Amino acid sequence: MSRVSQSEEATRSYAGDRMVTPPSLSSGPPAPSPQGRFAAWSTPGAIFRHRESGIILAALLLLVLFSITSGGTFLGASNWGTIADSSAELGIVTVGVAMLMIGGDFDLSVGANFAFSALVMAKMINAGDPVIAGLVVALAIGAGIGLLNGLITIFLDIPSFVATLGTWLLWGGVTLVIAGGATVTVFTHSAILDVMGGTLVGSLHWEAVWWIVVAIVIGVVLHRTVLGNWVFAVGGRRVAASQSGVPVVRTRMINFVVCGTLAALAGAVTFAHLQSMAESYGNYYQLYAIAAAVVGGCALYGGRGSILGAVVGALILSMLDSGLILSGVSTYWYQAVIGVIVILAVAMHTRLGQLARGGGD
Amino acid sequence: MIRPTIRVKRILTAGTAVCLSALVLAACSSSSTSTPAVKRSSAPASMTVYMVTHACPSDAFWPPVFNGAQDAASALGVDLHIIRFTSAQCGSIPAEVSNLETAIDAHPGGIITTIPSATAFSSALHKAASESIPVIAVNTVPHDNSQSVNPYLAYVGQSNYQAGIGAGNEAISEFHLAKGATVAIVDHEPFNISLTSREQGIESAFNSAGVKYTIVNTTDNPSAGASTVQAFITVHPTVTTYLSLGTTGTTQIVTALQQVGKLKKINVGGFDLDSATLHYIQQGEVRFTVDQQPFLQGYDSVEELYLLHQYGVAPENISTGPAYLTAENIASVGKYVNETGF
Amino acid sequence: MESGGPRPAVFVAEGLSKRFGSVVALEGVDLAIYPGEILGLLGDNGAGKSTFVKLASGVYRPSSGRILFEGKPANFHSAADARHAGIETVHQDLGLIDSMSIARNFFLGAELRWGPFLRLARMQAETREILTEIGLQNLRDAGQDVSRLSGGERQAISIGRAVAFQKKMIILDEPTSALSVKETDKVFDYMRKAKDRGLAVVAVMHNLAQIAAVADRFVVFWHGRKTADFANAGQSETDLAQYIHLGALPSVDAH
Repeated sequence: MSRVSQSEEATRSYAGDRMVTPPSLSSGPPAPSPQGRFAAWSTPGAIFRHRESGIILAALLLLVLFSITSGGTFLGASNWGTIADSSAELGIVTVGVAMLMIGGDFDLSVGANFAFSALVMAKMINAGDPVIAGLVVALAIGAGIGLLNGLITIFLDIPSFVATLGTWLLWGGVTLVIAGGATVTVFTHSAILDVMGGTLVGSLHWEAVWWIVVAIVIGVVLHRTVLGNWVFAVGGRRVAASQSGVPVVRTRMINFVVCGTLAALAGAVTFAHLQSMAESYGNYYQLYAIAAAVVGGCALYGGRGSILGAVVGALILSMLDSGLILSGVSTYWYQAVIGVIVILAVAMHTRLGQLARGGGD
Repeated sequence: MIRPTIRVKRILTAGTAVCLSALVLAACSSSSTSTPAVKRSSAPASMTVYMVTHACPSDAFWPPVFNGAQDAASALGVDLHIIRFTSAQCGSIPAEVSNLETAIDAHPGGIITTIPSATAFSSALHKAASESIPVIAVNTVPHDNSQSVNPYLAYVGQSNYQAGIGAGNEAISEFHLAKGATVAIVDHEPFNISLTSREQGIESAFNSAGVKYTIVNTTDNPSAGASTVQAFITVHPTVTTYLSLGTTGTTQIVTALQQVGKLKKINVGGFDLDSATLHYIQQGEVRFTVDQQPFLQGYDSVEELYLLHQYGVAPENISTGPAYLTAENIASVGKYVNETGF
Repeated sequence: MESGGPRPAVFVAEGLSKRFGSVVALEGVDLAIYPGEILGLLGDNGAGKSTFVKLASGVYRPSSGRILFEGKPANFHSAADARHAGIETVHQDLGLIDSMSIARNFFLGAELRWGPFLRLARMQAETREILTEIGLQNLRDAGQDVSRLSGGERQAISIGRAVAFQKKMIILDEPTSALSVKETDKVFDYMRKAKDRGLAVVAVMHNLAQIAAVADRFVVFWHGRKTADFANAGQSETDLAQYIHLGALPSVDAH
């Protein structure tokens, strides 16, 4: 079927020697794609045309496995609320980390950023400031931390892995100082906190909604906008992107700021859910967000990956946590299993990448 | 009769984890499907209990709590699942809350949990209450907790605030602290509200006696914490009394004093008991520790849930401490320490 | 001697020199390049070819002399300046991004947009159109990754970009190294298509048999100087080799 339309396309195209008009100025309806999304599925093995197919399949297999090993409790609606909540907190961080990694950079400071910005928000609320002011300041701090990461990385020309290793320790330390190391607890109730992290329905909290919103927005930006195209280009081959006129520095700076802002948002919704925050609350996030992004198919050196993959990656990490507990497996296995999963996922993405016939345009 | 069954299950569940690893690329073989059948049918366990804690792998305090819980579970035929932090999760209250929510999703016969935050566990505890899952708080609860914020049936542990007051007074009398003397308090888990309660108790005792204090924040990392304390000692040669808030902190203080050659020249007191602290007290390097009987916390919390489940006996608060251990009376607990798994 | 026809030169070098400290890389080169011709640059390693290419593409700035582009003095401060002016340079590594689709590569930096959004379907359709016109006949899907393409197909994309975005001159650095004979012929077709569109095509190639098959004119660099400039009139490969090694033909002196 695709072959027929292929030859049509060939004969339909140019006759004669007319000069090519600049594409940006040419008019007329776009030609129909001869090999559309659905045509691609008709060939054997084409199921792996999309990078995420493998990891989605893995998630489904985990679902089946845990449903059996948990004696059914894993499938319960309330457990899905639990999984959605915990993967939302990690997942919001992961979306930003994924975008940054696709652009070829790292941010190890997301955990410290998460705790620092939310802790400032908590302290502001306890000092009597409006919740909305606390939220705005928290997001601004997150953006500022991202901006600083970008400035250090780009203008001091040091690898972002090292730059953000430094800022991780810096902001973690500052957080300990401003809170005296202690947990800040907030007893204030407010509509804004409820909408950020309160109960939505049953065991499901609002942060899951924010995760979905963030994933859709960043997903569209990354895969369907000019900025997203630049992110892939900068991560894929920085020199080539620069030669083609892509504003490399601006693109990388935007990535750092988005990643920092999302880390702060994750901190804010987690704080809204728990009504407390401490430096140690962020411990969990920097490496696990990178692990989730990698499990979801983001290449460690940039250029490849997707937001759908990052979402599934965070979901898998949460499913493992919950599934192992409900299956009666010691939680100490969690860490070990995640290690194995990361390795297997990267191996799988590499193999499937070789199998795939193309990208996901 | 009970032990072998539990062991079989352990092996099977460990197999599940290994099988999981193979899962991503290929479907798991049928071996894992037999797990739930074994889990329920032949085991005489009359109830399932989840125990959710903020125990870090490096913290020597917790093993006797878990040993106590496991001994009670074995004796009473309870199917016990212990959930604790991996090292990456250490100190992450969001992770413990998520673990507690997962435990609720399993609809067990009962849940034992620590509550190391005044607010974070509120929503999960209300959910457990609404689903009629009995919850026993163990080891850590918010000071002056209100049942409307954090509902639970009973607390098994010590009042950390009272233990703090006791420790402060013990330090004043044991070290003859005069008005105006300065004491350094080492806090290895600043996020942990039970340590904060102890600290507040000590402060209250010191304030009454006019003793000054300063807080040294460290982390759960034994060697990094020791370095922090060592630096503090070097900068503050006039401080001659150090109090820890737990065994990790005690070891950090002793290690630091060893490094600067001031062991036994500086007064040390602290909280909790592990084999290291036992040794320090026997050697005279630490003068006292405030014990809260961790083994009992594990054992009694499981037993209370069992009695409620089996006979409808309403759980009661059980105070497991404080007890003050010094070189004079420590010999009496040596056997207990060694046999309960420190 | 010149095959450019009546059209004015698109690129003119006047006394172009480049020195690095006391090392003279290029000395007093005068050279005109015309639209609609394929110019083969000959010369041994270190003869000055790559220095010339880097000057023409804005990577280096001349120590003395100047470049006129489309009749106006061109003062390129960077590769981006030269690109912007209309000189596309395709290096051996091609400057394509493996992990992105053909269409995204093709339009990189000049995306078809609707507000901030990409017009992906249109980008794919136009990419296919232009590549087909350039002579890449069997392109199935402009949405597939560039990493799936052969070396020749990659050249088609680079050359197609220069054509589509109406560049005036394209410099190809070893466009056929590591290509099969069949693929090399195809790349020559792409180059001729570009020439037919009125581009000046400058090719730097080591393989003399190959460059002889496609070039209209040769320029020889020897020890940093331009030593010869002649139309391709079927000179033998041996003669061309003489130029490269000696800077000129010994037999020319004998006449």
